[in-house]
Amino acid sequence: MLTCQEVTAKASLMVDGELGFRERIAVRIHLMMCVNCRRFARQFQALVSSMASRNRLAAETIVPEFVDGVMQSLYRARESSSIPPGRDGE
Amino acid sequence: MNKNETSLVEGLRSGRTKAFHLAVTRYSASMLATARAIAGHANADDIVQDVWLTVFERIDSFEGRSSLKTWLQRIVANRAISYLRSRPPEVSRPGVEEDQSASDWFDASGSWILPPPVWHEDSPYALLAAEDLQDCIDKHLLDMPDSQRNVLVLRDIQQMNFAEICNELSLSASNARVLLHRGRMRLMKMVNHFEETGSC
Ligand SMILES: [Zn+2]
Repeated sequence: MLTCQEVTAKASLMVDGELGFRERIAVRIHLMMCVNCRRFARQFQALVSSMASRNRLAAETIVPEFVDGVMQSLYRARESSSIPPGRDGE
Repeated sequence: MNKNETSLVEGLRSGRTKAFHLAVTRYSASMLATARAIAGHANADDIVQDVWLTVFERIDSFEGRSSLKTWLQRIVANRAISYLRSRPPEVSRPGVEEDQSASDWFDASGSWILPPPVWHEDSPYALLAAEDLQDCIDKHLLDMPDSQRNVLVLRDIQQMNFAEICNELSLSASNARVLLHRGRMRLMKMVNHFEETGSC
C-alpha cells in the first residue's frame, strides 16, 4: 500500500501518463480510498492543464500590431545591409 | 518536418518577405508565451522581436533536425535566459533552492498532517480566469531556479515531449522528470498559499 507521500511524489508521472501498470493500479487504489490524495491529484492535474491553456490562450490573442512591428524591423535590418544583397525577389 | 514547413523554410532561406510574414504570424504567439514565462511580460516582446532578426540573418543554420517551431523555441528560451543573466545583480532573482519534496506536508508514516487546502478554483478554466493568481504564477516562475523553470515551460506551457526537452536542455530523462516535478510542486505550494491567504 502506497503512502500519501509516495502518491504525491508520483503525481507528475501520473499526469504525464508515465506510470507502469502496477504503479498505476496501486495509485488508483490509494486514490479510491484517500480523500486527501484525491483532492491533491485533482488540483495538481488542474494546475498542470491550466499551464498548457496559457499557451493556447496566448496563441489566440496574437496581435497584428506585433507582427507588423517585427516585419518593420526586418525591413530596416535588410535595408541596413546586414543581409547579403540579392536574396530577395526570388 | 512536414511538407508545409519544408516549403516555408525554403521561402525563409530565399529571403521571401511573404514567408517571413507567415512565419512571424504563425509562431510568434508561442514564442511570446515562452519568453514571458522565462523573462517576464515586460521583456517578452523585445526578446521575440530580437529573435526574429536573428532568424532572418541565420536561417541557413537551421538544419531541419528538429521542427522549425522547436528550433525557434530553443532560440527564444536561450535568449530569454541570457537576458535574465545579463540583468544587474540587484534586480536578479534570489537563487534559493528550497526543499520541494513537500515532506513538511506528511507525518513520519507518510500521511497528510493536514488535509490539502480546498482551492476555490479547481478547474483549469477557473485557474486561468483568476487574474491575480496568474500574475502570481508569473512571479513564481521568475523566482524558480532556471533549470526547473526551463523544463516546466517547455513541458507544461510549450507541450514539448521529454525527448525534445532533454535534447534542448542537455538533460537526462530522469533529471528532467525530477526538475519538472519540483517545479510543479513549487507552483502547487504557491497556489495553496494563494488560496489560503488570498495573496501571492
Ligand atoms: Zn493518500
